[in-house]
Amino acid sequence: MVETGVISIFLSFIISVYILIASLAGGKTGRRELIKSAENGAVAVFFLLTLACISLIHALLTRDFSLKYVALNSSRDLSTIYTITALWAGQAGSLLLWSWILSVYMALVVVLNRGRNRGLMPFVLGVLAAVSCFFTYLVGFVESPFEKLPFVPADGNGLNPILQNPYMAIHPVTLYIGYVGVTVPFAFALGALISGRLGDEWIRSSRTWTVFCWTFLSLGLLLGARWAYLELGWGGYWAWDPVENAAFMPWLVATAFLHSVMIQEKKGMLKKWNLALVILTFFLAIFGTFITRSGIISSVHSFAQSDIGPYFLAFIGVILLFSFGMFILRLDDLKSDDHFDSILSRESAFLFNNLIFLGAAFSVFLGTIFPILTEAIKGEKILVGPPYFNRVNVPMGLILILLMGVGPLISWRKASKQNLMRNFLYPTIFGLLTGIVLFILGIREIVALVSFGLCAFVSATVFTEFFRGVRVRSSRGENYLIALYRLISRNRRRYGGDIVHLGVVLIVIGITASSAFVTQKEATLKRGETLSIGKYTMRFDELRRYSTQAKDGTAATLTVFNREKEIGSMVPEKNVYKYEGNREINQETEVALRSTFKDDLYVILTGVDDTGAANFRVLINPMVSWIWAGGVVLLLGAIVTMWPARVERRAEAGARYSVGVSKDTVVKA
Amino acid sequence: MEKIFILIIVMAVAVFISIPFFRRGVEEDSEDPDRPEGDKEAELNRLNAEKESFLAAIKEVDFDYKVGKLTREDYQELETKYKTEAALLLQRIDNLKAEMNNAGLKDGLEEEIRKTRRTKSADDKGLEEEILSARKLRAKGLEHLCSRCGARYQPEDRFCSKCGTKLGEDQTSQAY
Repeated sequence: MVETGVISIFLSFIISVYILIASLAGGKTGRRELIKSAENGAVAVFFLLTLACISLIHALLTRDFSLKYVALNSSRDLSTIYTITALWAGQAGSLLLWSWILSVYMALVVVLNRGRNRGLMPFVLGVLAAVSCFFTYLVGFVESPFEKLPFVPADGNGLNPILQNPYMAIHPVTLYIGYVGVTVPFAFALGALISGRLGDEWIRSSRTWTVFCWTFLSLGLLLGARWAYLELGWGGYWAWDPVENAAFMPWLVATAFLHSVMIQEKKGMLKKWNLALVILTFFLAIFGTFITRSGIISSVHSFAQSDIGPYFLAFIGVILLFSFGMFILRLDDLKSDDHFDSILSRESAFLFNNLIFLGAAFSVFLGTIFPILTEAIKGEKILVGPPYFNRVNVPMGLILILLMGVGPLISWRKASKQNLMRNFLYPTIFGLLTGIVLFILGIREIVALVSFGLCAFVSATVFTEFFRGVRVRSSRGENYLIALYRLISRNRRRYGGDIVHLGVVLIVIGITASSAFVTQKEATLKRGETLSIGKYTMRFDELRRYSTQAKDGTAATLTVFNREKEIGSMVPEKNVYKYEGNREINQETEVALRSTFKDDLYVILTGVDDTGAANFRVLINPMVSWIWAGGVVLLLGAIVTMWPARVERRAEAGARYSVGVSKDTVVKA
Repeated sequence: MEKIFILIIVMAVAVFISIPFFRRGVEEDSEDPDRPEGDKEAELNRLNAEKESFLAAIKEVDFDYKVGKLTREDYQELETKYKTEAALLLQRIDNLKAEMNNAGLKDGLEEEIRKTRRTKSADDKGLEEEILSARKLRAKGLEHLCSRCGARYQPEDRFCSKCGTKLGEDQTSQAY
């Protein structure tokens, strides 16, 4: 099937070029056959790239080691499921995955807009096709997964053991669905710029796509953090690593964009902001891919040797030039329909929101490329570590939490004293009380106090929203549960958003607790000895060495006591993956983890000496589970937001209010 | 084997992409922005969408006030603003619909006239054809054959000259 794969990719590139030309020509001339043909082409590209993926999976499963990619990323003893996930383990395969996901989006956008947005669609499709051209060119001609080796090795290199983990299996796909998905709102924005249709059309049409890809970016980040926590075994889940930052930056700007568009819809303001934000989001997504793949982070020199780095750089250059060029061209059409009245207003809150998210993204950007810059200029790499990132981002994060509570309740134009009192009195009291209570209970870290206080404040505002809404509905005679259900389902965007904010609050609480209050202890134990940390005691019982086909493992069994009560055993491991043929030796730690909502007991087996004594590092990470739980709530809220409203509801609103409008309104014609 | 498969795929894709160039005009042109009527329809859709968003905004503002998020002044200001905009839109929609109806009426009237002309000419044609075939048949004299033995008889005969059957009442009359 290798030939099929090669030809499919080649054809996809050719057709992508065709789509680009045909859709733009069709858009400019209005000739419908061109546009229809281009749309059919989008469906064809999806079909062809699916075929290419199937071909590669087939090669992987049949252990076709004549292909360089299969030899580098799999081996005969690799289980079926990880053989399939090896599709995205390496550079070429993950580029193919990117191209395929892009083709899915392109085909979906075409099919779901069959009868709509006819003015915008040709240009939207053109932009999507242009991006598709780039990626299919890379996969077809620069870094092909079907590249052959001059000989056929007896076995492959195997998959890196740290990737053989369920989280690592799905984390790339989830992140890609987010990364690649950003192309869709970007295409709508650029389509609006090219066609001149700069009203709300492009925003309304791309709204669900934006929420969708934002959700996957969030999930991808959380899954990656969970993977790092479980597999990398250093005790934490986020290290401000360049690869992590590469995913974080687009998320920051995408969140800003997601919120900022609400202002344009309601008041016709922040038009320039919105275009700039979505262009920036797309740029950061591509840039993130670039820095992860080109090797530029490890060294500028490896960038020069890598094949695809220069291509990405060129592509980024073209995107920025073209996008901002069009932006400047259309500046006159982007005037605001309204203006800012006061700092204390919802408009201003959103503006601050934009500024801070952008500021955070910029600071992360600077910290990430700093080593690259210094190496290029001075020849020596100056690394930027967590202290910088934390010092800059924590204050900004705190302000964002505040805005999360203030934004939804503060009034438009100018918040009156009455409005402020009515909406913020109780939440503020609740927040302050929380801070005071925690202080009394012994917590002294200022940042933690402020963070928890703000989280309490936001929770109170969300609760107020739901409470008041239910109260209004039940005054019409509905019971509370039905009222709550109906409230949410009739205002999905608003209350779905509130649920997402609640999820974020949970995540922030988890991050605050697990950052500020970690306890750690290291000890070397002989058989039978114990280690105490916090309320836990651990007794080292047994050391077991075992061997499987893939690895030599060392497992240490510890019995855990909570105060005096035995609560179970934990088995951290330290493994060495076997050296076979041309595979590298690989060490791996398997962390032993015991999670409750209160804290995580985290045990690492750092080493074993000849006497049979074992070195352990034990951590108590408070409330880490809140992060993952918050992620689930975030996902639920996002689903509520995206759930399509049934047409009868819209008609119902239309009917009820139409009468009101025609009766009450005196129109000065 | 694989080569044939690839060839089929390539051809199928090529056909799929070229189809729109051969089916020009067969598809419904209702979304065509070039047709003058299509222009109005697109405009109508746009206006309707805007109207719906204003109505939704009114509903939201109404709810916000009940929930206590808006002060009375804010609520009244926003409500008036949205209602005015929505009313203006309704007016524009009505005007546009009237325009379209007029155009439609004119078109419809012409269509009616064309149809009547067509059916009239169709009726005329049908009538002519019947007369023609009757004449042909009479020329062939098909209507004066004895029903019993098939022999031809003269119009003034009362009995068949061959078999003697009485002509007239028992015969199925083919007189025009």
